[in-house]
Amino acid sequence: MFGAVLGAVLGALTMFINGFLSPWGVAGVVMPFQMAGMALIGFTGGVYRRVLGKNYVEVKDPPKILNIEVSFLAAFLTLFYDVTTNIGWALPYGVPIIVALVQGVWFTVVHVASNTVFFGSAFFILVRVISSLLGENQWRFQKEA
Amino acid sequence: MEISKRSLTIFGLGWLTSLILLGCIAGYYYMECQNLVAKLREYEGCVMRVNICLNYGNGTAKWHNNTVVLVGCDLLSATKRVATVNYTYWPSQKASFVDAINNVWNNGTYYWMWYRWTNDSWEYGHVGADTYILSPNETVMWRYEKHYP
Repeated sequence: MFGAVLGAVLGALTMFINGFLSPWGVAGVVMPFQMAGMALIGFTGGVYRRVLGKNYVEVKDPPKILNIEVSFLAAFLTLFYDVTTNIGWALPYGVPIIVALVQGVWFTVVHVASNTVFFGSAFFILVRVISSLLGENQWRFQKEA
Repeated sequence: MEISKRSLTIFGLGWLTSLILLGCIAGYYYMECQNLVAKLREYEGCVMRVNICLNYGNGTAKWHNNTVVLVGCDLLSATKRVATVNYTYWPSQKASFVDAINNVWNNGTYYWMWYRWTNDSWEYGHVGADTYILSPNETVMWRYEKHYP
């Protein structure tokens, strides 16, 4: 909603904070990879928003294909994020990357599946909620920018 | 419904994701398999396989082929791996006597007796099951049969 650059910064900042406050403990050396992964997700969100064009009205009643698009995009980006963080874990410990990816595959499967469902069903609802909280003008302004 | 180039691209990414995940899952099970094979090789000298038959004497016989036990395992321990066994240790005999297998109890007329397969016949087991040491690939049978002690 706020553009690709702000999306990337917000993504990176989110994982930076998460790296310290996560219930799993301090992220450590994985943190830069988490930040990079989430930054790309934020960036992609901004780009996707721009690619969608000026049909902001669609957000109120999105066609099914948009829901499917968003869920597929979420699946791909989740995979990308997990691959990035797995690499971030494997490199410092000298674990072969392919082994790290394969060993973590069931976590990735659950992660991808849950995000696919969540984004496919709730993404536009969340966008509507945030739009109404921030005001529709904000959304329209960003779209036309 | 017209599908735009953007949608097709994103769907392609989705399919790519599923293919990568499937590849990783296949890799996961391949690695698990390799680990198990390596473990099996590691323990090859420490384990052996035996065939155990539980013959209930009423036409029901259940085979537990290729039961993996430790080398030097006695018959009682091997049987306990495939069935619930109740037994009593008799100090005077320095051996255990099986009272029941899978809740089928000796009753004064019928008892659990064991046999080992020799070249072409079943040979009666003369010693307590816990004193008989099994050999690799040996075939043994527990039979619930009429017996007059």
